[in-house]
Amino acid sequence: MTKLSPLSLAAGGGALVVGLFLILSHGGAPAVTEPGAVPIPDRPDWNWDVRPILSQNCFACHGQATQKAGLRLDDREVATGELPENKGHRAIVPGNPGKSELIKRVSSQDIDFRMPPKETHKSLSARDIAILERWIDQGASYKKHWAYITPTLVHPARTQWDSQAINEIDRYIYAKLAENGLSPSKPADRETLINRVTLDLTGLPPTLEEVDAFVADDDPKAYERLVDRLLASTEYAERQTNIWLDAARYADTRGGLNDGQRPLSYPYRDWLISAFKQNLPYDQFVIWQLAGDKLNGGKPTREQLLATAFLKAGRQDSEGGSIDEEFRTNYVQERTELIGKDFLGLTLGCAKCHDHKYDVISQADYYAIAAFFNQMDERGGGGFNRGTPQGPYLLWPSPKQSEQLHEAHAATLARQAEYDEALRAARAKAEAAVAAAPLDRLAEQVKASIDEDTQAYYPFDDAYVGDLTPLMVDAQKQGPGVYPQDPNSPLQKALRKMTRPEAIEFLQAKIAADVAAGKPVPNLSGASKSGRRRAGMLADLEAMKADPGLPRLASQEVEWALEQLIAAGYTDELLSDGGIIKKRGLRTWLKEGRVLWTRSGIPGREPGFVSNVTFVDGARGKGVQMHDSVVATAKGVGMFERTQPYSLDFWVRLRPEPAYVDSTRPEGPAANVLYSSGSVNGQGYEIGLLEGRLTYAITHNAPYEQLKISLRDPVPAGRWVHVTTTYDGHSSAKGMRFYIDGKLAPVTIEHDHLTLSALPQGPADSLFFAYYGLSSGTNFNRTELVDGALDELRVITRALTPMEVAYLHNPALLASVTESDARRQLAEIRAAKDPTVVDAKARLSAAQIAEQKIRAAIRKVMVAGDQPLYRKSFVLDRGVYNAYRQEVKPQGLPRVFAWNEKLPRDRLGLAQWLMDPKNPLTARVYVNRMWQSHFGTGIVQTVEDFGTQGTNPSHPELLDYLAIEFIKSGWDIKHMHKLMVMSATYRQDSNITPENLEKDPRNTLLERGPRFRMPAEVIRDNALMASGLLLKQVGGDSVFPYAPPAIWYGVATGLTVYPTNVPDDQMHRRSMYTYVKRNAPVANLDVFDMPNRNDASVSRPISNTPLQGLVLLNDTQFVEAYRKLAERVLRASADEDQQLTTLWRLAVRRSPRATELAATRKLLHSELERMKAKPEKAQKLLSIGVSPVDPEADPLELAAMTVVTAGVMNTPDAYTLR
Amino acid sequence: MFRKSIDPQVLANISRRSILRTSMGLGALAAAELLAGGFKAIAATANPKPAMAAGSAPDQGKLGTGHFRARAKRVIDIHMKGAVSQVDTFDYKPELFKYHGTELPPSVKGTAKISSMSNAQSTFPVLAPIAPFKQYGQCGRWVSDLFRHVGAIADDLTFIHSIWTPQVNHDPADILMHTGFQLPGRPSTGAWINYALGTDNANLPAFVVMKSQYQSAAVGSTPATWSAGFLPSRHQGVEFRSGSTPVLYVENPAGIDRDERRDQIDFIHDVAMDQYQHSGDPEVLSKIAQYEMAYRMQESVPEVTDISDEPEYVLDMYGPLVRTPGTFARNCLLARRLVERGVKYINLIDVGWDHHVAIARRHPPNCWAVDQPCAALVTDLKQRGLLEDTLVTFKGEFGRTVYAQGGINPNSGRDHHGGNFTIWMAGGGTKPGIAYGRSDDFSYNVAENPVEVHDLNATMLYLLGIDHTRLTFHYQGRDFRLTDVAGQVIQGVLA
Repeated sequence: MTKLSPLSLAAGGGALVVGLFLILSHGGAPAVTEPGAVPIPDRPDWNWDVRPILSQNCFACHGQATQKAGLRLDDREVATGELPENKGHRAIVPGNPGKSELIKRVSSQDIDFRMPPKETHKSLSARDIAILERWIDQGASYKKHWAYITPTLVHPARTQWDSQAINEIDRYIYAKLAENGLSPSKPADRETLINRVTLDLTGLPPTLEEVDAFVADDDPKAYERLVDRLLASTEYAERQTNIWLDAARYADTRGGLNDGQRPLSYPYRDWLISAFKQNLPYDQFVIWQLAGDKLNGGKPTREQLLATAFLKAGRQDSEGGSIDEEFRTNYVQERTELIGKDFLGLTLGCAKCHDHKYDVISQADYYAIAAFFNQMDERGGGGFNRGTPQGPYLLWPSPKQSEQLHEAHAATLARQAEYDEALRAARAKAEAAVAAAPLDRLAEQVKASIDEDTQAYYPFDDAYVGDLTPLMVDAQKQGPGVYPQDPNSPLQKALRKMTRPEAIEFLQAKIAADVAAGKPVPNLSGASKSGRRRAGMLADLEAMKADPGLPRLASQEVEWALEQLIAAGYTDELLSDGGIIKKRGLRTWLKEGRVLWTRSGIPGREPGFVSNVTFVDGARGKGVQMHDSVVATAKGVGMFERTQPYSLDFWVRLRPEPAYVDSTRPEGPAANVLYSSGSVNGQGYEIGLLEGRLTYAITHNAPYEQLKISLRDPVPAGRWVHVTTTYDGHSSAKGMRFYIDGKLAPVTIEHDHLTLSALPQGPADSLFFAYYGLSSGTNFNRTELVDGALDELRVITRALTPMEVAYLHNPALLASVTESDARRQLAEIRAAKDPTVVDAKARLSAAQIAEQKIRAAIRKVMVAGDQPLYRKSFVLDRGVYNAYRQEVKPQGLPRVFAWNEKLPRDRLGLAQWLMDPKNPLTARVYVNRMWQSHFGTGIVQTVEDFGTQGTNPSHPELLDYLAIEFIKSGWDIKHMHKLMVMSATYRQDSNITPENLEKDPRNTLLERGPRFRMPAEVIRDNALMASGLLLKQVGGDSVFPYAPPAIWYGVATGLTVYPTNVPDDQMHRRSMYTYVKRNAPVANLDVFDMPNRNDASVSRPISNTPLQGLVLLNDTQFVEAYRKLAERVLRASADEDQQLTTLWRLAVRRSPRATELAATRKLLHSELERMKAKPEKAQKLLSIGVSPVDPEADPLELAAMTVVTAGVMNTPDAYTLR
Repeated sequence: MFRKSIDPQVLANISRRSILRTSMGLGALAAAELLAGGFKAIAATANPKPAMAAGSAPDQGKLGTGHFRARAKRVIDIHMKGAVSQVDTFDYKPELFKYHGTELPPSVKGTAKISSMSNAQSTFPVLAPIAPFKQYGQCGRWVSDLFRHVGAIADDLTFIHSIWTPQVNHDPADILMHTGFQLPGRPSTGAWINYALGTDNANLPAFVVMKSQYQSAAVGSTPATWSAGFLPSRHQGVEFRSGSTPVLYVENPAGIDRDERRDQIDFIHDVAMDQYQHSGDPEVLSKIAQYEMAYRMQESVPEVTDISDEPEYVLDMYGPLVRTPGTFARNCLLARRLVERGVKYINLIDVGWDHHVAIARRHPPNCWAVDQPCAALVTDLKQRGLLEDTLVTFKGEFGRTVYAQGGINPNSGRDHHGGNFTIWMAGGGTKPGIAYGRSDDFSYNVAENPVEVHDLNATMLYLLGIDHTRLTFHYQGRDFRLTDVAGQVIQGVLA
């Protein structure tokens, strides 16, 4: 091209326009596209040569989806068969192109006869037609889609450049270059090479010392040693982890409407770092993540279990109105599609609703994969209980907590031993005493022992009206239809007051006091209540005062502000709206402020209340029939921790028709009979009804932290049934019993794991998740026992014996109890009440609670685990969670790669199916992604789609070679990276000639080295490294570097304040450690295409927008780095040119060209003038960022140099991998 | 000068054609586009401080001028996140006052999916509208007192009473409304339109999002509704925030003034050209263009968000809250300013409408805050002749139930309701003064002319001159479109 002086160019853009114009207009019509220029393959291949022609021109009308004139060309049988609308003719006659209608039609000169029809504006080139002819002549053989054929080794054709090849990769690349009339570029210079490979493998630039050492090292093995050093580094492992985090849709928050903090995320991220560092073979790497929990016969190592956090890293939405099963189904489907995207390179999502239109994946295949994940022990929706996940988890204690837990557990064991001993002794004593006493008046004895331990008894035989008016009076002040529009109305004022300066000041003072006192700030939803967060609020409030235009306090803060103001005695009527919310108490369920109290059957005890029930003939006396009703016991009744034994005894009558079923809740319950649980997670216990069977669950957080049994047989409907449950207080489902009509009933244990609190709780005054004590009837998210009836509700603070239950059912039943049995049970009762046992039990409970408290405080990592009972899986019509079609059993995609019957049909089997060396996709997909990371694009450009609609590989034989090599190496990831970066192909110069640009604009054929904009994290890390600010601290909690003020407001209901009082050095960690909130992307990385992690992504777009320039020029993070870089530069030398050369070397790892140096010098001089003229500007610029200013530096010089470093770091070479 | 004698757009077209002629396919075309970007970059540099001219189009979009004649050139999409109660505002059902407290007939309620917040209720009593209705205008539209100002311009509006959605949770419904699919990951309407039609102003983003910031929000917005999804990320909505930095990072660091910044940009430009000479990488040219645009945005964004040049009578029209930055009222005024400058798609999001409890006390303040500004925006556009080719839509992600959540009492609320709800549109080729479709007497089901979310989006694209079935993007082996596999243009609302 015309050689132009670059600096004159900038002044007169027109000249360049001419230059470019010349390139394009003269470069047209290259040999590569002329018919005949690229030779016709000797043996045209269906996948590589034929199918692309047909796919582009014919399949739209004659393919899988549509078959005009009954012809489909993608199916050999049809294509070679008789044409239904043209009898006696065949589209393809193998071996005879002349007789093939296909050839006649595509090559016809008659425009009306020719295919494709003229409206399509498509036509086949002479070369296309020649290929089709030769292919038909040779027999028109079809093949499976290339990606479903197990890779085979095909050696590349020899070329003139083979002698300069370093490894096999180059030979494949050269062969393709030769085929296309291109030639390889010269090797990159050593400065460029070390810069490229270091940034590529570690995500960080080399130091100048490293550059100098490498440039000076003329050992032929120098480059290999460099690569080995980089591959051994932790920075390499961090970079690989960073890439995998996209595929793992890793984030720190849950996503969705609330988007609060997830249970701990970082241990998984840190596991990835160690896995990459140790070079865990890829097959293990995948198997651990998909099925680590099932390794070693279900006794995995901690690391293997931790790896399964991969499966749990997805979004977990919840909304007040969400249906758990619907959301759980979403999770299952999300993982199914993840298998496609991450490992198979297939778009499984299409088959969720229908058979895949293009690939051999049926809808049943989709649900067969889903069936593996359908076993996971979890529920959908808002399944978080103050940090305890709704599925299996791994405790992640601090060293101190670890020690505390160890001690507490030892104490529990000791108290358990003491209790066992006390019980043994008491039992012996009691047996002796019972044996000595006569057995007459057994009924009286039994009754007395029951009565003694009865906490509450409601016979529901009468009720009276109580008055709740005082509670409701505020609410009644404003009835329906009152809607003040006047901005001066109290309500309007109240709303605005919340965000006005005085409220802010009040809050600020309040928070400051709390912070000073080390108190947590109450009631910030879903958030870590650490000091960081509080300080973040303070900083935001400060910013709001300074800039009244900033977003106002968002919801949670306003709620919290209301509470604070009320608590502080702000009883101004302006707050009455909030006041009512807080005082509402039993609120809407109670009609008109009046309530029916039901007397306690125990004289002197508090009544319970019933609302909206019908009194009916009960099992004894009257009972209550439910219909939008509330039945609640007195305060404190039926509130038991998991360490406490208790029994519930009641009569229930189920409506016969319709039966209690709820298709929206296949997991149940379809109705709640009795519950003593408040939060949406159901902490507490519940007796429910599912498909006619009673269930009894004691729950911390369902389904994993839960004991659950269900009756084997349905309960008869339409008549009164006597139900008794007992629980022995030992945190095991084996200690739970159901008695029906006085007799022990057989049960199924559904879950048996409970290590955390089951004490019911929840605010008594909230719309959501309120706890009203042991209740029945309607409540938020509860399904009432509509038209069912309850009677004779009794709560006993001990596990009743069978004899006692029988007595409660009918005293006459005692007659059938044998004498020895009666004595044994009497002794048991007596022993349980023995003061030494009671005492030992109390101490045991205390120890258990103490241990539990420590356990609860320990942070947890969600990991995978399957539920104990197999869950059947079905095809779901259009993916809808309860639209069941035929049942499917778990297996892989049979038409992609057959299932091996020897494999277990669980996630481990799935992982082994994936990692089978014969699986055609797994290895190809991953080597392709590795390739993409080094060269900018994959050999298959559609890295997430290897299906028939994806792009064909640019180098199919190379892809197969790499896949085979990967497997042969034992899935050795580092080996593959090394192979790629060692290749001569990788080491080529990446400068682009006009000819190359014309022939291979995207560098698909690799006639030059890689060149692309750095990934988001690398851009930021590169600036930190150049400035010397980077803190190389590996792993641990995510960090909160600089972010614009109020960046989290208004995007979610949870976590609305970005923490700001981060220790200074934590501002300068590698970008991969930045906290990722799904709804509020990391502002300065998002702009550079970091994905939001709502979904997995295996390939990032590389965009180019004005916002990128704004970030690089204006973001505090970068401006601070430019200043520190300026300090380094000024310190480096007293000589200006030396300084500027150092600057260029630090920023770009090469010395500046003369033109660059001149431009830089010019900018520096003009900036010095500006700074001298306005020294106050310099001060302002230097004050940006938390890191201290070098006291040695002259402020004006430093400021001017900062402007210059910013300029240099914004030149394309400074953020381009080249 | 030379640069004056050659129109860079012409050059770009020539070069693109010359490459096309070689039929090298996509790769070369992409490179040609990059080069074209380069030409524009250099053309733009010719004048470092270009006048704020709507019309200097740097990006024609994929479709250029669309498939057929566009009636609308731009869209203002007003979204009330949390959901407006159609029963209390725009869907007048006089009988409901009579039915207050009586059970919603089971024949009306049917078996449709309802939110799990109220599906455990066993009674569903009708809650009468919380405000009286009046008739307005020539068209005689009934609108409740909660929207008096909007009522007053009823003759300019097109109501749809028969829209429905299968989603009854906020985010899925909102995301469906704005991307045509209920889970995050697809491009939003604004991104599609930006992708299709490009922009009319080189100095401002083509797709702007503004959220009201002044009120409490139990249900917030989700960025999925202004995401570019799988489209190139430059089509993503750019959030304009209240406060001194309306676009993130648009403000120079302290101590750097405009002249200094110009020096920096010139330096970057010069050196980048030098680097381009060395590397031959056309991407560099594109980067230079983007830096120039960044520089221009630094001027144009503060200019457009500074309302000090607005006369008092205009401010008064938008109501008292317009004087507070971050309010919905202010955002309406800014929307008009953006529209004047050629911004293609503006999404105004108001939050905090989710009134499950005490709707009678909570809905009115929200209505009060948006009523006058909405009306003012439409009127203001009309007075300036902009309403003709600007489509304004007002909607929520669903409606609210006619039955009381939590029973009839002073704290009655309304739950989410997807069965039918009401939206309105103005301008941009819609037929003013009409109401399309009808709900049943309980405002619970669609009685006539059902409108799906996809229909609405198809109609919006139609008004912009786009055939919704032909605006596609190939991703993961499939041609995706905003309307998924559905959508019919609603002929009845077209002027």
